[in-house]
Amino acid sequence: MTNDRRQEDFAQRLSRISKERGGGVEPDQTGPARDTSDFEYNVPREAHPIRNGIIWVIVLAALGAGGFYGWQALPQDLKAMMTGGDADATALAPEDILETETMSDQGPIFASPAVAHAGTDPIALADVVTQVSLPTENTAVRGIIPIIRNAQCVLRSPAAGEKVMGVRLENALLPGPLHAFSDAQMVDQLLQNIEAVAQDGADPLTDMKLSGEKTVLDLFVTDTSAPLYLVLQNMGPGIVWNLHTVPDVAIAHIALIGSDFSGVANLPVNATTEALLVSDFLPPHQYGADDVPRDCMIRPWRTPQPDWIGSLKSEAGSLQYQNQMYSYAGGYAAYNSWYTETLGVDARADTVTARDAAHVLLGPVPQAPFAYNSLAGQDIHMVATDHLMTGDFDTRTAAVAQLQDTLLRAAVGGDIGALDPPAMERNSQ
Amino acid sequence: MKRGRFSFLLFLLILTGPVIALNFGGANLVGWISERAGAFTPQAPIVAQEVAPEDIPQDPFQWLNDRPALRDVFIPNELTAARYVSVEKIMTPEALLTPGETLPDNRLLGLYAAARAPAQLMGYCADVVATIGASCDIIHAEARENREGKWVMNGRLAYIPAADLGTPESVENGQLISTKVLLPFEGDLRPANVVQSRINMLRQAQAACDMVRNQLGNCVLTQLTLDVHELWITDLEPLPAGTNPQRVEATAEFTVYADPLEFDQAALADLVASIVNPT
Repeated sequence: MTNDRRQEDFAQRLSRISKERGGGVEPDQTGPARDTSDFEYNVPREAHPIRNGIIWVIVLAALGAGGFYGWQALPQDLKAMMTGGDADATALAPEDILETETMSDQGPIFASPAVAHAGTDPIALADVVTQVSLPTENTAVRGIIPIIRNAQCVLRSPAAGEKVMGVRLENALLPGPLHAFSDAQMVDQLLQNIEAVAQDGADPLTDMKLSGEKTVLDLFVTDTSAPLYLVLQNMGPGIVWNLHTVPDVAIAHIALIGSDFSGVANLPVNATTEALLVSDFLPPHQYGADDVPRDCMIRPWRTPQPDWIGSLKSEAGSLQYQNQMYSYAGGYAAYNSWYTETLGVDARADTVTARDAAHVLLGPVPQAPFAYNSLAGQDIHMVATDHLMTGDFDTRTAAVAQLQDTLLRAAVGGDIGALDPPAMERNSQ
Repeated sequence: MKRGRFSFLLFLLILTGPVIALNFGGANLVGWISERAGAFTPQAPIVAQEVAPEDIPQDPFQWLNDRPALRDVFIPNELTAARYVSVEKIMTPEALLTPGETLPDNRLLGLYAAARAPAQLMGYCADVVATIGASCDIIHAEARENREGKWVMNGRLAYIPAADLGTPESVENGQLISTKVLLPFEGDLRPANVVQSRINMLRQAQAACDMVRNQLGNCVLTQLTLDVHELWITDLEPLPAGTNPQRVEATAEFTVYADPLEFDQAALADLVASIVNPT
């Protein structure tokens, strides 16, 4: 196979000259018939379909690969502009899906005055209560009444006719007027502080964090359909659940389930309380450890919802969030198994969930706002632990700092500066 | 006809070239260009000296600016996390205490060990400034309990090299190249974990780095890891009950700044191995 057409060109030219001079010389017709083309030069040429096909396949493949990776590399908003589509969340890369003030990767955030509730319409604090006097870190309470937490992993069973309702979240968002912590928690906090100094360069005097600050959540209860069995659950730092009820609400029992020391304020006179501390029955959480149903799986997981930023990131392809959401779902399934077996209802039934909230409504929105129960002057029924402190914020924090400082000095062997010794110079030997 | 085909191919190249360059070079292309531009900064010192007024102090390490990894290795007057001696200390709970102190509750032992680890490990800085360092400070300390109920403290001691680091600024198209090597010891047993053994190892590593620098123009001992092993029994000598002699072995990491086209990581590993194990 050759592309040399010089002989053919010469014959063509000879034939043309012969015709112009009136001669009868014809070009050589003995060769094989060939496809010809008039493309630009009016010159016959050979067709090479296989070779040309391969070339085109290679060229198109290069263009396709380049185009694909180029498209992937373009910013999402530019792609949306080019395609005329919306750069909605499902089309974004995981790192471009950001948390907002009201939605975190682990669920919604209801900062005051928003009220979390079972419905979908947003409601505000003024829709539920009047004469609001929110707690502060300096609110003066009357005293602390200890709740002895359950030694066994059991809860009182709901009585016939009682309705189980619940709240399950991570953090409460209102400041609280007390500190509560165990000796073990103080040791853990000190270890974290030491690691911050010895490994991350924190200042041993100014960067020490304190244990035990608690927060408050307003719980408005308006369900009058039956005596209520409230299950108040959280995974973060302990919460003081400040109760507010409309007339005719009957709270029969309150079960606290949490990872830290929590309490209840404005407790109805006839209501009973009990508490399960997660760390009494489960080891510290490790990935996958809670995925399988088992006895006393009481870590109160929430099941991922489609609007969580974590779910959106998972949908967008984030392996980290796929694992996290998978673990959340598995943890919730295991927790729900224990919950259902213990209380006879699904963990989602009549339960409000959020990651963080300042106010939660259990029951219908009231016809008219009712009176807010201030925390001031009230007893706090608190799960008992080694250190329970009330009083103004400065006094409490000074007392906690004094406790920690005493233990830290003993641990260091005197001078806290030994956590961060000065550099040694060669000429200082 | 041929001209037409050539033109078509040229057209395709022009069309696909930028796409491929952008996708497979991407931001790296820009980074590469920036790096190349930065690499040439020290290439014009004469012009810079001519233009700069004499009363403006010149930063002798200007060429390291904007190259944090290189700076951390070669800056001669700062402690950085890129140059350190990794040390280990194994202690009984009683050894954690000062004279006259009583053992705390078991639940507090971890806190005591963590709190005392920085000061305990800082003692090894004396070995460092006696050998390879002009200055030494602890930048990382932690403690854990081992299976024998003893407390294992691990730390990193950042140091400013006392030795000359060479002339990395004269290297064109350079990259940081590192290699690790276990320092040899005499006999079947590792050396005892005593001051003299550690000082010998530090000197051994520095001597090897000096020889590398003599050949390549620069060298930094970026890591020296002193691993402590406790022996329960030996084949050589019966040990009194309860004694667990600690032995130490050292692994050194050497880093040079070199043109990888002229001297790559494998070549550095071979060079260091031939220096450390000459036989």
